[in-house]
Amino acid sequence: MSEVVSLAKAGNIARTQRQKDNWTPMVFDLHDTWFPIAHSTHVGAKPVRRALHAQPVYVWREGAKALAAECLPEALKSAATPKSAFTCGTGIYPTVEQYGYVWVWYGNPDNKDVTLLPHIPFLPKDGVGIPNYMRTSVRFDGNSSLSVENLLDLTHADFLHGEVIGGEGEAESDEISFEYTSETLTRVRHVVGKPVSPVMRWLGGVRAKYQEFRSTLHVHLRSNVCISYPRFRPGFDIPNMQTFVPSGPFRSRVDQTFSLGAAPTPFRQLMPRMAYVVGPQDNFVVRPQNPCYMNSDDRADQNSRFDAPGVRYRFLMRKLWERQQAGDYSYLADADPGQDISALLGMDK
Amino acid sequence: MWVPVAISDHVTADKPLGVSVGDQGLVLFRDKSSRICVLEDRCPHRRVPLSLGKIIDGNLRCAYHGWTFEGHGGQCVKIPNLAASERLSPKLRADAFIPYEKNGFVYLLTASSSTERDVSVKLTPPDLLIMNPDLAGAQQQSGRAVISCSVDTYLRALLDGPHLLLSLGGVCITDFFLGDVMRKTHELQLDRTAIWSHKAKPHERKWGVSTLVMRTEVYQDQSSARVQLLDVGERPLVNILLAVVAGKRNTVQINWRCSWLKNYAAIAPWFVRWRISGGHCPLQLNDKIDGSALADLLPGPSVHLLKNDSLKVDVHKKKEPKRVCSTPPTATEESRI
Ligand code: FES
Ligand SMILES: [Fe+2]
Repeated sequence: MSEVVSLAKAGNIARTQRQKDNWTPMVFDLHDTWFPIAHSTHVGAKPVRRALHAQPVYVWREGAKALAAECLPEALKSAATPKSAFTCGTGIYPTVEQYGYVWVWYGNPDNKDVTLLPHIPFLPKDGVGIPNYMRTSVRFDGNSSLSVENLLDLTHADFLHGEVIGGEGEAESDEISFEYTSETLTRVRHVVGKPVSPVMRWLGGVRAKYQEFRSTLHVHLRSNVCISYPRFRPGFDIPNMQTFVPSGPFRSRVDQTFSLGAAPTPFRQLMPRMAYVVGPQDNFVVRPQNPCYMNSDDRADQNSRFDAPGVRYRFLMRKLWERQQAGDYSYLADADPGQDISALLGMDK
Repeated sequence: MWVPVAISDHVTADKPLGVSVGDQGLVLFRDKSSRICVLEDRCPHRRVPLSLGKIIDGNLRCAYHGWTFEGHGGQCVKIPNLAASERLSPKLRADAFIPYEKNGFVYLLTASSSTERDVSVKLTPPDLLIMNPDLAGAQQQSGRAVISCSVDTYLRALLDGPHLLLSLGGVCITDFFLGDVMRKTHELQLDRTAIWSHKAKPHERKWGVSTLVMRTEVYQDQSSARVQLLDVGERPLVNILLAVVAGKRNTVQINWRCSWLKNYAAIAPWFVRWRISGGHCPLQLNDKIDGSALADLLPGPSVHLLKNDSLKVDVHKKKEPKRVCSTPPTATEESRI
């Protein structure tokens, strides 16, 4: 098969030695974690079909109790239905309901532990009182790791989401920092003197010309749960959670919940709808990007200094994956996914 | 080997053009001085196709994070939000390719081995896709289509049944071949009968006097072909150049240029004249081939097209009579068939 001759191959420019690529997000399949499989309000008596990586998941309610299984309820009793080690051969996944989501344990059922559920300080634990307009569901047309990278990354906003979020770069200062454990990554962006975005001004009633903006994103590596806490001063907070549930290696599902009790009407009602504008914009690039990560490439991705949190994310994911490949599914001492993150999110600032 | 991947005019400084050679995606655009640039259709940052991007000041800006590349070496020249004092590493670059513009087509160099590459890199594209100089003053149009069959299937159908692939205003393309495939210096040539369609019905039963010839030429490189409509004196009426290049998933990409002469309009039926005067191109390239018709197409002249062996064309040697006639034949009469 003949190939197109590049300048480098023809010897016209020096071939840059590129590192071998070891970022293969499609093969990552991290076990022993809770996945928020569905909004509680989406689960009723009739089963809904979901997936966790390659595992089928059906969720429904019996009375008030949410159940999740590998098959439809009527197939549960049949010996002919294959049942895996994810359910100890019973067909039923361990399930809890919290923060307005049904959470499913994915991994060895013997290791399930409710203290590993992420702490979400701005959502009611029992899920009661979240108005429906604060919930959205969107599809991401990339695997969950690429989708999380998209959320971690800040530089694409100007190009893809410019008209919604407003142009950046005019601020007095704009700083990005991050910290991490073996299970989580927390990225903070702190902007001083940012011109108030049109959405905030007209829908949120913020009359000031400039505002201070501090946005924290807390990512759980195994489950892709993203907890986001943007705070505007003057202005209000727009805390929200995004799920990025891996529906196989090609797609992920985002059930988002906002907590906009502090925001005025109509911002409160309209802000969550922005997900329907921003989602397709992200998919415009993530969708064609995804197949390019199908096979490991001999050319590693190139980075700029803005990619530091993303590069760290890749590194941590790789480490976790390698550890699980070697049979170690434990949580290391440095990580406590269930810890109180109010301070980490900057809620006290 | 040089493959014709695009029509020159389709590559602009306004909008990038995505094409492919086999599975290799490429993006074509023009810089500020109108020179053609070809980069791999893959951003080296996060692999998003660069063809989704925008051309800004003659450079290509990726749609995802705005990394911007110049088109001749693929060097990244801008990353948004970097301070002016920050230098961009020369390692940040997209793969760049070698384009060659010739006769209204853009060619790219391909090679299957390093030896072939080293030999052909010094050469220029062949003069195959070239409009007959006689056709100066003719009207022209060009287009591009991606068709769901392989290059081989397409070229074979072009010899055996071009009516499945294209139509020409007012013309019925028949499969009554005028002789067999002839081997010329660079091409296989085959003539077939064509009939003005209003006189053609039903030609399968009643075969009258035909006044048109359709000539198909498939060039040795098997990425260029020419189809001509000739009048009774074998003067061209319509000339179609086809650049045929393999695309993704075994499809074929056709970049075509069609020119038609005043003669064509002069002798075509009134409804064709009327359409042409309205600016319509007489060629309609069929981009949705009928699968069952294609499957049922009987093998014919295409048996001479050897797969994967572009330089050897297997044409039976013509057997000539041993004894030379004492009186040479007079000029051929109009073929009565
Ligand atoms: S993927 Fe092209 S700039 Fe990031
Ligand atoms: Fe985004």
